[in-house]
Amino acid sequence: MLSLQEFGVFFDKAGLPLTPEQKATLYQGWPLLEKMMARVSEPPQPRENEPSVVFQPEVK
Amino acid sequence: MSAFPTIAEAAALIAAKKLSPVELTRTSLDRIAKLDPTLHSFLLVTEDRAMADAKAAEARQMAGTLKGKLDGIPIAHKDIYNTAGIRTTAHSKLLETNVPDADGTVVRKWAEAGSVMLGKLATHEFAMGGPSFDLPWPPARNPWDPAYFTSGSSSGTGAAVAAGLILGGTGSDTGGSIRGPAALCGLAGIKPTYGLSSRAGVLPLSFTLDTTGPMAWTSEDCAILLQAMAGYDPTDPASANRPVADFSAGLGKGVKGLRIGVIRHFYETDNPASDTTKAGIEGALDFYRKEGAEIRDVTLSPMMDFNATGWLILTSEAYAVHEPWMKTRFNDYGELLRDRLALGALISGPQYFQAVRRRRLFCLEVAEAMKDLDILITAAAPAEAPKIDEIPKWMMLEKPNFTMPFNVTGQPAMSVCTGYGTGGLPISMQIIGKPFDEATVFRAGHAYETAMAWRAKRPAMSEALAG
Repeated sequence: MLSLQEFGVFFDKAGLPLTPEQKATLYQGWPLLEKMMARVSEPPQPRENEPSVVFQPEVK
Repeated sequence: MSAFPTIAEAAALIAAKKLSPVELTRTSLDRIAKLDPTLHSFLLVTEDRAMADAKAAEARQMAGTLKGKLDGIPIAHKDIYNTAGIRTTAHSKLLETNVPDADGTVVRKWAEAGSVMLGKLATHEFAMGGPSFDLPWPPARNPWDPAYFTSGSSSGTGAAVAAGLILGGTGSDTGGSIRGPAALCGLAGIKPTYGLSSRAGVLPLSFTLDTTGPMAWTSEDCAILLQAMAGYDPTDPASANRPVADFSAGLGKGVKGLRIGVIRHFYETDNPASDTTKAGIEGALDFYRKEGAEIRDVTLSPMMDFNATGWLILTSEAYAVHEPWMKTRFNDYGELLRDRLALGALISGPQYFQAVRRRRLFCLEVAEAMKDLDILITAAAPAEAPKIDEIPKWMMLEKPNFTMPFNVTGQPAMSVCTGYGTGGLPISMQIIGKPFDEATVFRAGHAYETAMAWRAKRPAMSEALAG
C-alpha cells in the first residue's frame, strides 16, 4: 500500500499540477483501482495469450 | 394520435399525410420551452435549423418523395457528436466555444435520412464526468422526478426522450453510457456491436470500447434509428466492413423457439439488485417462457472481473486522450472528471496490456457460453434511479456495473424498461446478443414491449403538459 506521500510523487512524475488537497482526494479512490489492477493481473495469463482489440477475426 | 407517438407511429402518419412534420416539430419545441428549464436536457436548442429541416421534410411529404421512416422525425444529438457550424462542447468548459467545421458521420447520415435536428443534448463531461454541478451547464434531470439521477453519460438523451421532447437521439456507450440512462429514464437504448456504427466525428473517450448508438422509447424505434446509423465508414479505423442486417426483420415474429440464457449471478450475488428489478426480470422471463422461448441459467466469470478489465482499459485510454489538457488545464475540468481521469496516470503500460489480453479471454468465454443460445438476459441497472446529489465519485470502482461486461466483449446489448419500482421510477433489464446480431436483440425487446400495456405511461410532467 502506497503512502500518501509516495502516491503524490507518482503524480509529480506524471506532470500533473495537483495541490496536496487534490492528491489527498485522489488517494481515497486509489485502493479501489488497485484492487481492479490486482484482479486483472492474477492469475497470470499464459505467455501465448494474445490481446484483443477486435472482436470478430474476419472483420477487416 | 397519441400525444407521444413513437418514431414508427409518427413515420406511418407522416407517410399517410396525416401528420405534419412542421406541427410535430413545433410540439417538440413547445415542450422543450416548457419542460427543459427543469430538465436541463438540452445544452443548445437549434430552433431555426429544426424548423428549416421540418419544412423541407414537409415539402417532401407533399411531393411524395419522403426519404424513409426518419423523414420529418424530431431528434437531437449528444453534445460529443460534431455538428458543422453548431457548438459541440462535451458539456465542458474546455470546449465551451468549440464549433466543428464538419458533421460526424452519424450526424450526417441522420440528416440525410430527413430527420429534424432540434439541438445538442447534455452529457456527462466528455462522456465520463457526471453528474457534475461545477460545469458551465447544469446536469440533466430525470423527468420521472427531477430530484433523481438520469444516469449517464448520455443523460440529456435519456431525459429528453423520456419526457417526449424528441422521439429519439444519439448516445455513446463506453461502459454503459447508453444503457444506463435508458434504464433509469425508462426507454430503450442499444449499444451496438463495436464497429457497427461509425465513431468518426464523435469526441473519443476510450478508443477500443467506444460505440455510438441510438436511444428511443421502444426497441422498434431503436431498430429504425440504428438502420440509419450503421454501416462501414472508412474514416473510422474500427469500422466493420460487412453488410448491414435488416434490424427490423424479426420484429413481430415473436420469440417462439428463441434460446435465452439468464446471467442470474450478476444481479443476485455479484451486485444484488432491488427486489423490484429482480421481479421485473422474472416477469419478462415468464413472458418469454409462455411465448415459447427456451430459458436456462448461464454462469460467467464474476461481474467484477469484467469490470476490472473494462475500467483499466477505459481509464488508461481516456487519460491518454486527455493527458495534454490534464497537464495544462487541470482545473478547467469538473472535479468528477479530472479525478476519475487522473488515476489513469498511475496505470502502467504492462497493467493496461494485461487488461487488453484478458479481454480476449472474456470474448471467448461469452462466445462459448452462447454457442447454443440466441440471447442473454441480465439486469441493466441495480435499481430505480438514486437521487442526483447522492452519486459517489468512485461509484464505478466500488461496485461492478451490469453494462461494462459487454463493452469488454464488444457484443450488442440493449436496455429495456420492465416497469416501475416502489418509488415510481423505471426499472429495467438488459438483452445481449451475439456480435452483429442486433436483429435478434430487437426481436426479443419488441415482443416484450408490445405485450406490456404500461409502456404507454409517460412522466407526469409530460402527461400534464400534453393534457
